Amino acid sequence: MIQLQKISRHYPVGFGKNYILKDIDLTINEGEFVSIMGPSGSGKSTLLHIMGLLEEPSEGQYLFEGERVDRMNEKKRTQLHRGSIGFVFQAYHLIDELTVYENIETPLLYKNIPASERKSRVADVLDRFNMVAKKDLFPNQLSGGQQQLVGIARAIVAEPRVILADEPTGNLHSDQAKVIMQLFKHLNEQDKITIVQVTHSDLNATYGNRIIQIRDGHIQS
Amino acid sequence: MLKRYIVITFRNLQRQRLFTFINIAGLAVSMSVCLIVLISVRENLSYDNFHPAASRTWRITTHAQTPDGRKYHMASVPLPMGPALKSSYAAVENEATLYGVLNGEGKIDKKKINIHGAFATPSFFEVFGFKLAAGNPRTALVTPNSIVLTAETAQRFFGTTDPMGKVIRFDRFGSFIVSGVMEPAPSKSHIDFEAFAAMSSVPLLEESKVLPDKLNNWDVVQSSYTYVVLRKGEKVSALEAALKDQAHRYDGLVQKGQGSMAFEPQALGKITPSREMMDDIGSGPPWGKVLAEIGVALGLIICACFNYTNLSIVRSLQRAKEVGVRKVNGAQRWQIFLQFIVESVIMCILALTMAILLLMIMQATHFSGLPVPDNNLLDPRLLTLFFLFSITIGIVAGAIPAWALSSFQPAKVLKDLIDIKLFGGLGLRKSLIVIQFSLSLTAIIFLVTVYRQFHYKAIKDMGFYRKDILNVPLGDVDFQRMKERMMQLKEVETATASSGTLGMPRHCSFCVIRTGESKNRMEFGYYAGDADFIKTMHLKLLAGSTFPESASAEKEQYIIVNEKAVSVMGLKSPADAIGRTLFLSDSLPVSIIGVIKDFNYQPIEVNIRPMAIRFVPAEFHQLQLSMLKGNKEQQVADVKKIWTAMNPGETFPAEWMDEQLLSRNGREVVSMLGFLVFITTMIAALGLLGIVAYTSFTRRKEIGIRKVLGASATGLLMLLSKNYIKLILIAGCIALPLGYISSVFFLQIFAYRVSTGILAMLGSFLFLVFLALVTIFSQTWRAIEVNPVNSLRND
Repeated sequence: MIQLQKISRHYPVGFGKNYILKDIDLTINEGEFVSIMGPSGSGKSTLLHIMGLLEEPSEGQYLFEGERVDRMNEKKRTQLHRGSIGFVFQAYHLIDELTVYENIETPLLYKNIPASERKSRVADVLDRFNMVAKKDLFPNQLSGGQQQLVGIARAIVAEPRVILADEPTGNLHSDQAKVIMQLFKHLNEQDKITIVQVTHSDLNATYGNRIIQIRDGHIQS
Repeated sequence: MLKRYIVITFRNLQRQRLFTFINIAGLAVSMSVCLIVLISVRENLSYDNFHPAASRTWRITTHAQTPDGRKYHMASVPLPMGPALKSSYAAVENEATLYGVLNGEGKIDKKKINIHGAFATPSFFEVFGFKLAAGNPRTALVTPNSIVLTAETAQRFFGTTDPMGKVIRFDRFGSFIVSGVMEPAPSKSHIDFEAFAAMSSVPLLEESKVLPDKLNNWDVVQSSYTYVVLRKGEKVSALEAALKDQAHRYDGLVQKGQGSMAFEPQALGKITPSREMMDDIGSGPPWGKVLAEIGVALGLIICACFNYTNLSIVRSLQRAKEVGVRKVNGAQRWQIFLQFIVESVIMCILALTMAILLLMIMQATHFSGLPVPDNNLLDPRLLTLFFLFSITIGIVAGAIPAWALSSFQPAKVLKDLIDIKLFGGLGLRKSLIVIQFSLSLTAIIFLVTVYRQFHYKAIKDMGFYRKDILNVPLGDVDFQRMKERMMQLKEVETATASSGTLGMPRHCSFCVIRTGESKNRMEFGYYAGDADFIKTMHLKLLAGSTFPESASAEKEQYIIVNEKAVSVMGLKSPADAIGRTLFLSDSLPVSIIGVIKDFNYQPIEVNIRPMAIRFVPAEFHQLQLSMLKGNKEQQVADVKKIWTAMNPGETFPAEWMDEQLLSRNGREVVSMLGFLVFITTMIAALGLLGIVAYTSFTRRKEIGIRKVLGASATGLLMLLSKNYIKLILIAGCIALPLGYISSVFFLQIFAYRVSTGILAMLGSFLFLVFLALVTIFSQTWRAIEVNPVNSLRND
C-alpha cells in the first residue's frame, strides 16, 4: 500500500546538508499495524509526515497504492487526504471553536458529502465511541483522553484506508493510553484500516504487528 | 458549509472581544461617513434620470470670448437658438427653451411669495419627463399668461385649495392664470425653477419694455437655455454640425476682433454633477465637491481596512493551527480562503448595522458635525446599496489576511508555531501602522491650520463694525418709513438701509464704472447704502462727506468710493477725487462725494479691490440697526413688534450681524473637519491598541523569563515600546511635510492668512505621540504586571 524507495529528507546547513532521513526503503502492506520507534530527533515524525503528504521528501520515490505521490499536484494530494488518509496527533489538534460534533463533521464537509449522510455518519461514530452525550461540548471542556478520542473519531469518519498517528498517547496517562491503543487495535482488526503509529512506548508498540526501529535517519530493523 | 463558516466566525468574534470591538467600531464609524457620502453621491448621480428620451436629449452651451480675451463657458444660449435649430435641421426632432427671468414676488390676495421661475415653450412637457397632477400638458403652456406651478410652490401658495384657474400677480410681469400643477419629480433635476410660464407671454413683455429685447437677438446669451431632442438614429455629430453652422453668425465679430461665440452640446445626463459653467441653473454640486467627498470616505474606510488587515495578520498565529488541521482534514486552499473572506464580510455587515444605527442616532439628535442626510435609511434600495458596499469592503479588507492564512503549510504550523513566517513578515504590518499614523497626523495638522485660519477670519478686524447690529429685511416697506419707526425705539442707536451685509459671501454687487477722462472701464464692487451707512458700519471717511439728506431717491447723483478706487483712477490723494465724475454702466454720471478708508467688504479670501457705496433705494434689501448694549432678546422682541406691524402675516427673519458672519464663514466646515480628524485619529489609535495588545500577549512568556532573570519594569517597558515609538517617529517624518504642504495650499485660498505655524504642527505631532504612548504603555504595562509564575506555568 505504502512504498518508500530511497527516501531522503535533508536541510541545508552552511555549505553541507543535514540529513534527517537517509535512503529509507519501506513497504507497508494493507491491513498492517506498524509502530515506528526511535529516540527523539531520529526522524520518525518526519517519516510519518512524508507518508501523510504533509512534507515532501528531498529525494526518492513514494508510491501510494502504486501511484507516484511525489509527482502529484496539489489537487490530487488533497483528494488523497480526503479519501485515504486519516491523521491523529499527539496534541490532538482539534479546532477549539468547534464542538465535538462539528470537529468530527469537518472532513465530511470538505468531502462534499450531503447533509443527511453526514449526520448519520457522525452519529454512528459518536455512538461507537460512546460520546453522544458530549457532542455539543467544546474541546477545552474535555479531558485529554476524550479529546484524543474525538481526534481519532475525526480521523476515521471519512473512512480512510490508513491512519497515521503521531505519538497518539504521548500526552495521556497510561489508563487513557490503553483505551486509545485498544481502539486502534480494534480498528485495525475489525475495520481493516492500516495503521502507522509513531511511539516512544514499548508497551504501545506491542499492539502493532510490526515494529520499525529508526535511528539517525536510518531504519535499524 | 457556509453555515459552518458563519458559526465559527461568531464564535471567534465572541472569543476575541477586543479584536472584534476594535474592528467593528473602527469600521462602523468610518462606514457611517461612507454611507453619508454614498447617499449623497447616489443622489448627485441620479439627477435627470426620468426624462423620456434622456439619451437623445442635449443641452446647448456657449463658448464665449470677450473682446479683451477672457473666455467663458456658459450653460445658456441666445434665445432664438431653439426655434432656429428645430426649423432648419432635420436631425432635430424637438426642442424646449427655458427663459429663466420670471423672478419676483408673486401675489395672491394678500399672500406674497418669492418665485424663481422661467418662461417655457409648450414642448417643455414633451422633452422632459415632468408630469402634471392637474391640467393638460399639451395646452398648459400655450396661451399667453398661463403658468404651471411645481407641487411645492402650489402648496406654498394655496395649501389645500385647488390652484387651477387662480390668478398670480407679479409687479413686473402682470397676472398669470394657473393652468397646471406638476407632480413632484421622481428624482432630482437640474431644472429647479418653481414655476413655468408660457413663452408666448414674452413678445408682449418685450414690446412693453418689461423684458429686454431678446427673442430675436443673437448677441445676448444670459438666462436662456435650449434643450434639443435628436431623432432616433441621429448622432451628436449632426447636432455639432448644425451648431457649427449657427456659429457662422458670429464670423463678423471674429473678423473685427470683438471676441467670438461657439456652441457645444452637453448630454442631459452629464449636466449634474456640473462642470462649473457660468450662468448655470440648478443646485447640483460640481464634480470637484463630489470627488472630494468620495476621497474623504475612501481615506477613512482604507484606514479602517488597514486595521482589519493588520490585526488579522497579527492574529494569524492563533488561527494557524486551525488552518493546519483543516488542511489535514482535506480542505483546499480556496476553501480556507473563502472561510476568512466570509469572516471579514460578516464583520463588515455587523459594522454596517452599527453604522446605520449610528446614523439614525445622528439624525435623531441633529448632530452638527456631519451633513447627515434626512433620508429614510431603511429604504430597501438604499439598504441593498449599503449591503453591496459593505460586502465589497469585506472582500477588500479580508483578501490579504485570507491569502496569508490560507498559505500555511500544515506540517509546519502543527509541529511548532514559533517557526511560521507571517505573510510579509513585520514589514507589512509596520508599514500599515506608519501609513495610518501618517494619514491621521496629516489630517490633524491640516485641521489645525484650517481652524487657526477660520479663527483668524472670525476675529480679524475687517475694518467695519459688526457687534450689536441687527439685520432686518425690508420686505415691501419703504426704507425711510421703517427706519423712522425703528429709530423711535430707544435701544436703536443708528440705522442704515443697505443692499447686503458687509463681509458676507456674495452680498457684494458689481457694476462697471468709467471715469470721465479715460475710456477705461473698471469693475467695481458696490453696496447700496443710505446716508447713515458709514456711521453705522463705523467706516472711516478720509475726505468729503456721506450722502446728503437731500439726495434724490430716483436719480443717482453721488457715489462714495474707497482708497483703492482712488489709486486705480490714478489720483494722488483722496481729496483730489472729491467732485470728480464717474459714469456708471457707461452712461449714468455720478460725482464722488466721499472717500473711505479701505476695508474688507468681501470675505478675506479676496483682496481689497476698488469698491463703491451707492445710494440706490431700489436695491435696499435690509435695515441694519445698531443697538445699544443691553438685553438682546428684549431688543429683538421690540423690533419684531414694529416689523410685524408693518409686514403683517410674515415671519420675522432678523439676524445679528456678527452671528450671521460667523455662521457663513465656515463654522460648519471646521466642526465637520474636526469630526473627521477625530475619526481618523481614533481609528489609528484603535489599530495600534490592537496590535500592541496582541504582541504583548504573545510575548508574555519572554517577559516572564526576563523578569525571572531580573529585568526591571522600566527596562521591559522600553524594550516593548521601542519599536512602536520608532514607527510613530517615521510617520511623523512623512506626515509633517505632507501636512505642511497641504496647509500651505489651503492658505493660498485666502488673501489674508495666518502663518503656517511650525509650532502648531509640532504641537499636533507631540499630541499624537502622546496618544500613541498612552496606548502602548497601557498595554505593555499590563503584560509586565503579570506574575511570571502564571505566564510561565501555562506552557
